[in-house]
Amino acid sequence: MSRIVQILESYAYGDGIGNHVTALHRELQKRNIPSAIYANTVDERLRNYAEHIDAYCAEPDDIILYHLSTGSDLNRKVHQYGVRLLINYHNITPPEFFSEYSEELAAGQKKAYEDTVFLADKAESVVSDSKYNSNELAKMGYRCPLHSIPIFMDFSDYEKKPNAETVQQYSDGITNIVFVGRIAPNKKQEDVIRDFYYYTKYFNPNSRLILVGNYRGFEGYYLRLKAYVKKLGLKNVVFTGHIRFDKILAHYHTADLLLCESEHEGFCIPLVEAMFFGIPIVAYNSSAIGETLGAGGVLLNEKNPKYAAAVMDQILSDRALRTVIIKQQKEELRRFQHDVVADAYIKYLLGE
Amino acid sequence: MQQDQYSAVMEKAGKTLSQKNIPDVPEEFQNIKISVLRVKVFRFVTKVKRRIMRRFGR
Repeated sequence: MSRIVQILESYAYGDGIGNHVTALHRELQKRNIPSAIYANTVDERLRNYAEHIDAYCAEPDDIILYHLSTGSDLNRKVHQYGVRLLINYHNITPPEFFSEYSEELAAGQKKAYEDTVFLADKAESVVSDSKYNSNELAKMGYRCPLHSIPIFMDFSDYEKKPNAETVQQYSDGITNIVFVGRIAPNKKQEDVIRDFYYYTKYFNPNSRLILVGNYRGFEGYYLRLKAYVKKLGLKNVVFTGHIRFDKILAHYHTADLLLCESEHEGFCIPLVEAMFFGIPIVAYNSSAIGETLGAGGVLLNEKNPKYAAAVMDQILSDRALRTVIIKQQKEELRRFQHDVVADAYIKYLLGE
Repeated sequence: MQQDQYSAVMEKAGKTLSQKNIPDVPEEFQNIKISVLRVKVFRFVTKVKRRIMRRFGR
């Protein structure tokens, strides 16, 4: 039987792609399918699962599943192992979002795009987290079969205990509007702040906005957001910065609504997390967001902060509406269940 | 959300807004500028803080 060899630039602990790689590896092992992971950088906590890419010796029957999400020297080398190559495309954020804040990061994204185009005729097929990603590849010249399967999400992680102190701190009767995602220009946290400005000033002063996410790499953008909050006179906006997972869980446990104004997402994991926690979602209809939400949540087709605020108010003050939205979101959650995703991946990898 | 429910939500939001007559936001994000020096100082301070916290295991 062929061995599935997952290769990626950085095998990081706790990030979406790292979790996806680990979940697929475990699933393959569970089904007695040989599986291995190699990466350029491996988090110490994942040493039991993976080895450095230099240790990889290709065997003739190997099938490489290459995780493509960033600029890397591997992007230009992975086709040289002389075995079957499949790509798992997780999307690349367009460089124009970053150029104002970091020339280096923008250049990295530009290179990643060029590398993705370079790989267009090298892969046997590609599996992406969304149809949006597949369409992006088709535009880049990919002519091989393009499949879409949602990213693996380990829902058992969400059943872990949230940080009790944070839960207590934010269970004070104030309405918590939350956005989860690193502080990055494509996520458009400034639009979330603007929506919240209208909501808290004209609909519900007893509310706060919590922006959960690391700002490392985008300090300039973070400082601008903080200055914007100050300029708007908002006292009730919290930037958590990088926090432990149990604290992220605490914010989901205490959130009343998830507001997303992101303009570029290849999948958007926080939407599915919000579905899991039964938090109503209001999101701007961009990139893969509509596809991930499906019939759940409320999609905003234009950037109109006053409308967004009015919609948020309706959801938060109408219990029946909120119940309907949460119920529909729970139904959508089925598409992302571990077994559904696992079966689709195994079927894809075994070519069934 | 189903189309009829969605339309109802949007219609109600529109009605609410027309009744409230909300003025525009007092400042737009694109007018906010941060100097390169401030970003560099912030990065430096954050880096030092992170090292201290790591050193003392916090």
